[in-house]
Amino acid sequence: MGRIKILALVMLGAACATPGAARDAGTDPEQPVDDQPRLVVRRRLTRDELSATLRALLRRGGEFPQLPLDARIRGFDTSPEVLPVSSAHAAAFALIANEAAVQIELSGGPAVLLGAPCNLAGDADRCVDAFIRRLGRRVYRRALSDEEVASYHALAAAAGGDHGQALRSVMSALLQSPWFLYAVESARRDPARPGRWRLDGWSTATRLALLLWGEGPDDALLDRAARGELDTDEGARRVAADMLADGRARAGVGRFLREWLRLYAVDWLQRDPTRYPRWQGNLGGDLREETVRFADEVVWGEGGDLRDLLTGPWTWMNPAIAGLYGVAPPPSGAWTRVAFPDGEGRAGILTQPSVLAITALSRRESATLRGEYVRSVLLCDPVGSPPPEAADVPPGPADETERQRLARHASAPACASCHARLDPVGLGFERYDGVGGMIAGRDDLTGRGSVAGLTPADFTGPVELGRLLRASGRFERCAATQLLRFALGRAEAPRDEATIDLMTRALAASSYRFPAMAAALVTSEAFLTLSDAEVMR
Amino acid sequence: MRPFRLSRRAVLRGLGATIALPVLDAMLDDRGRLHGVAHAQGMEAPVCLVTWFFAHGTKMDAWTPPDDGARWTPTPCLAPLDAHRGDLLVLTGLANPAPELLSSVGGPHSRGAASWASGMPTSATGAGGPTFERLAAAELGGATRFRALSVVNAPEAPGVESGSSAMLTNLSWSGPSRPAPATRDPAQLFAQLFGSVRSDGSGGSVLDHVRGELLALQSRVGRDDRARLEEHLGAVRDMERAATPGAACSPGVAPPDATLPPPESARLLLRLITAALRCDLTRFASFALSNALNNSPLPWLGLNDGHHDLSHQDDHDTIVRITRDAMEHAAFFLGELAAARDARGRLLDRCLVFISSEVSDGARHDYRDLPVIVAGRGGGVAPGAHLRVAPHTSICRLYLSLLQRAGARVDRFGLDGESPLALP
Repeated sequence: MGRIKILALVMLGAACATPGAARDAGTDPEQPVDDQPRLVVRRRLTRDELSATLRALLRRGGEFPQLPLDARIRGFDTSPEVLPVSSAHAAAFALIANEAAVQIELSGGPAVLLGAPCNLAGDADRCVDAFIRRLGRRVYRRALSDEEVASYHALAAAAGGDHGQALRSVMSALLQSPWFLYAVESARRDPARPGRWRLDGWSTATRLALLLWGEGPDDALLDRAARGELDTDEGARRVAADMLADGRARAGVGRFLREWLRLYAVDWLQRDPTRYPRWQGNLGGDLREETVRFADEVVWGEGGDLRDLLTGPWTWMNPAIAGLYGVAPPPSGAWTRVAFPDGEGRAGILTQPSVLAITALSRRESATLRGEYVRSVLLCDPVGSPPPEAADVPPGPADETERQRLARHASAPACASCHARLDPVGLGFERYDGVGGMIAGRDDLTGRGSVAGLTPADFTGPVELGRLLRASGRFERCAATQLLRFALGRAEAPRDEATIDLMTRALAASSYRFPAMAAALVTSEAFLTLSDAEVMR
Repeated sequence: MRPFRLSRRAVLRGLGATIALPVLDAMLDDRGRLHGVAHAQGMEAPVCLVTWFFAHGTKMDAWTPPDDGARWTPTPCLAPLDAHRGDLLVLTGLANPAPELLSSVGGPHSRGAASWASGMPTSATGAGGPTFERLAAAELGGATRFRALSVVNAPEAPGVESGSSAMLTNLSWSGPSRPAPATRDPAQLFAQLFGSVRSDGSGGSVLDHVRGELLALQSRVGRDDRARLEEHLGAVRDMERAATPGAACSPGVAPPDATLPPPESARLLLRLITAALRCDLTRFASFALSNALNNSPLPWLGLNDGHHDLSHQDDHDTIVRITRDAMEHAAFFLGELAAARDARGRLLDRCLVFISSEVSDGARHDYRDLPVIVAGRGGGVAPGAHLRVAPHTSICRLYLSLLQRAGARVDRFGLDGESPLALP
């Protein structure tokens, strides 16, 4: 039994100290010395972050399909608990690193990757050294120590004078380094904030870049970190403002919106074309693109107001999307902005095919799923999972409406307590089908719904629901909460309420500009510092 | 008292080879386990353990044979397996208690799927423990190139349900909240198993460097982080071993040159798993015919509606048709294992294949009276019957039996798995 227990412990990754491993006396984690920096492995980079970072680093496009998909909890992929390194990951990292190493020459040689002269045929030693120091800093997201530089020189020397292999070995080892794969953070006690640990400039740069750009820092940002620009709150504010003004922020914020609004779910959407004749082929990419373009304008457009996500009376269409709306395709055939007149029954994401489709089943709409989306995603007021004994509503007459079906459901007391909070919200969408079209000629579908807990609670149709959510003041706070969850990779704790307040106020004070809310987050104590518990684990 | 046994690794080192030898009946005790080191060479039975998942359960009235024993009457769902009845144990009455616990987190399919072969209630971050084939692999999988394989016949496309999305796409877990990511593409599985191993050209110095960095970082961080890096070090070791070319062994199947529709890709994946077991590249595998909460249509059955949606429309005949299709795939796999013969006999005689679903009736998300089949004769199991166990018997007791028959030294598994289920 002894052996299996030990094996199980190793396998479960539980408490596996390395006995006898050398430790710097000054950084012994069991013996905190107040003026010493402490290292924390915050989390592995996500698949998306690794891919974007590799694209920037290797100056190439494309995806890295070798990497396994990451799990989402609380709707986001940034939680440390679900970012393991399995043997499948290790194999993928090795494959990608070796491919990148082989492609150094194909991609124009080391000078191109470094953006600096590096001539292997001439001064090979200097080229290898520059490669290690300069690319190393970019990959590690900090300057390498002398020992680290020496270790890479030793690795290069092992190639025995084959300079091409030397570079390939260095490249491959860099891209498999834990410093690349994990966000490793270094923090010191913050003299200004008792009980908090201030991240160093490198770590702050990485936090900012991963959140705002969705990729690791570039050389310019690392230069600013090296100059100490991120060592003060004021400095971090300035750098964050510049980063939000950079084009890469569109990608970073887009990634947050995709996760928050569950737009990833359109990728594998299946619809029965015999039930939805307008659904032809694989439209998932078009659905996502429509909402991404719309949301991008809400976030970055002139006068953009985050609440327009709920009420903005326009969208973007290509011919496929126009087909789902049942309107004429844009004459140009390209993506075109289309404004909705009043009374059209269209405004904001709640009437877009993406949201209507990811909250439907393959053959029918679901008021329950639509209600769940509004509660969980837009109000941060989720309803628990069905209990184990939950069963489907038995099939009724073929012409039964969703409202009639759910009315039978609501009479079961075990179901009613949760469904009373979900179904009346979703029933307000009943005139919209599961691919975004409007259901015509059905006077019995009133679209009347209500959101228990809001005042007023009643509405007719999703356009009015959008206005109601906007007026409730609950949406902004939920948006701030979702961004905090995404950024920190965890659920909000009671002490985060102050940060969420700060973010919500910054949003309101800026006429609801999303970048202002993001800036408030990244200059908050929660973002720039660690707690004792985070450092001491 | 447990008999003393040499570890597999020690035995194989002694033999200087990674060849599995046959198990003779004389080597087995009455429970199908080996008599200690009775055999001259002290070999253990190299049992292959495979979990085989199909989603959304079935209609149990069309699955469960009305009669017990060897002469059970084929039911609509099990008819496709009739040719293999001599190699099957159809088990009726097993239940998975884990997903029913109130502490179990996640939607009904997430809970069911992540508890399916782990037998533990789920947490917010995933399965509550390792799946049983991975637990066996952790102890016994050290001799082969791959400790274990996980294979899913679908792209990684999690549906949306509360709980970690990993619970819907992983039917194999190496520990709590630790999915074992699956290979999903036949071409990729072929390359992984039989492709030429690409070296980084550094003669091992790159991976030594990576390992050195992991150890150096590990020495500078706190306890939780050390554990995480230890896991990474283990992954690097596994990956290195997998990159070591094994003895030449013909895959007996060609890699595909195009994307295949699900039925064909399933058959190819199953042939590749068979080849991996036959070539002793691994002894532990997890196969899933689809992800959990799979909502792809099944056009080859004339069904354009999503599988999950269909499971809730409760059309009896449709569900039976889908189950029959799944069992045809299972029959195909068993046929492959039976046809893979060598001097030691049929591969199926060394295997134990556990075939089941995360729920009993998909429309009700019912975790009791699960559809369960154990196929093969590995570990001395004598199949060929329909057995009824006491209602609500924990399926973890079956997992414990399978683990012990495979040679793992465990005496409990999962929830209510304290004593092994008696198998013939």
